Amino acid sequence: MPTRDDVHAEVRQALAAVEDPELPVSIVDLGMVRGVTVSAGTALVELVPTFIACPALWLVESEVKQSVTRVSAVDECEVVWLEGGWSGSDVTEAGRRALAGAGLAVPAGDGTVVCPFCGSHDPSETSPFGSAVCRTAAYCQACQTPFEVLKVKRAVGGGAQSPQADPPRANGRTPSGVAEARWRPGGGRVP
Amino acid sequence: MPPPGPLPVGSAVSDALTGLADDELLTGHVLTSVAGWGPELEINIALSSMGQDEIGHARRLYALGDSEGEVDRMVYERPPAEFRASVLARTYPAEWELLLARQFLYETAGAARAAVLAGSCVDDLALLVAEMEHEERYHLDFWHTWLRTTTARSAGARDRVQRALDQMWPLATVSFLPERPGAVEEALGLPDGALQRARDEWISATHAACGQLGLRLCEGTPDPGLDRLDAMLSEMRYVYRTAPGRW
Repeated sequence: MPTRDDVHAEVRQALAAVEDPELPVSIVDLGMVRGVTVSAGTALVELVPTFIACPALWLVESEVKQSVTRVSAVDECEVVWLEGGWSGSDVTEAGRRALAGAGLAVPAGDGTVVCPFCGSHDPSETSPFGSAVCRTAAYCQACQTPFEVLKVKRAVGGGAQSPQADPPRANGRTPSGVAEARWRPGGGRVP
Repeated sequence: MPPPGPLPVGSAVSDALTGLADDELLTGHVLTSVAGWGPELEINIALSSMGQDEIGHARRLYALGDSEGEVDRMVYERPPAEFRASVLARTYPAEWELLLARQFLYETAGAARAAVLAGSCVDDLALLVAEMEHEERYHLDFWHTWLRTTTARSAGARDRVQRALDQMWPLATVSFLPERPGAVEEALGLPDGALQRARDEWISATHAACGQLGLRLCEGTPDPGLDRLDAMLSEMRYVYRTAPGRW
């Protein structure tokens, strides 16, 4: 009979096997998993989306349920999406390495970006809109290579409502302190 | 002020939320439809990306007050008469300068309104609006940049932008507030008159921003002929009608 800790560890392993469909990295290393509880054969997995409009949320949810219910002690898996709160700083070191291996950079906490190919600290943003809603496009002058950067959420306030406000720097700081509320991507809120 | 709690249902707030969601849906449709107009290929990627953001925001706003499965009905089955989209969002620009004017006014007004709504005591709404605004900042920067760039290109380009603003500004000014702003403020725990004050400040700031570019914002009567809701819904629902059912 597996202990509660054993089951919990197995569920975490099952989650680690789920990759973001648009990024070559596990959802655990991407920092999308916020909580796991298992009770009476039902696993409750709490996730945060990287971006509200991410078209892959449905697929992530489906694959999480599929993977977690393969754990022998789990009969059902419920996924709860939490409102907001994800930022680049949630990506683990392993996640950063995996993304860098695919030519994707994750901004550091202070917003700086390092070229995933040569390690230069001075790449420039070429467009705030990349090949997916969660990415920006960048170019490294040092190794003359284009690459993409996970989009950080730009700070709000200090002139957000003012049309003449200067645009923020490309690598704006990630806001913090956003509390979380539960929601499902397709419909009703979780009580 | 009401205590923090769930969203009041069947109220002025529901109507206002549906209106915001409708605006985002139609704007998402406009942006994804015109991806291809951009003067650079990167611009087309940007238009598409912003359109996806708006559609995602619409989905969340619809879902905020409704049960699962309701989003599809709201988008694909609801009679056009039940749409609460603003008159600005109902426009379907047929040229770059009209798109530019529409989006500049839409995004700046949205940011001004969101700054108020994010202070609501209704946690779900406040958090969602704050989260959306982090994403919308990219849009705001984009349209502000392109307003400056296009206007500075030539006298002819500035004239075209001016004519576009002449059409869009009267629509934008009547699109800012929900139908019953006082009731919305009360239900959301917002200070009395907060939305009206935000509108006044937005109007002043927009006059100043356009003035810096040599553009004017003139009072006028909204042109009802610019309402293209039916055409947009017809496009949006074409495949759904042709091959109904869950996908």
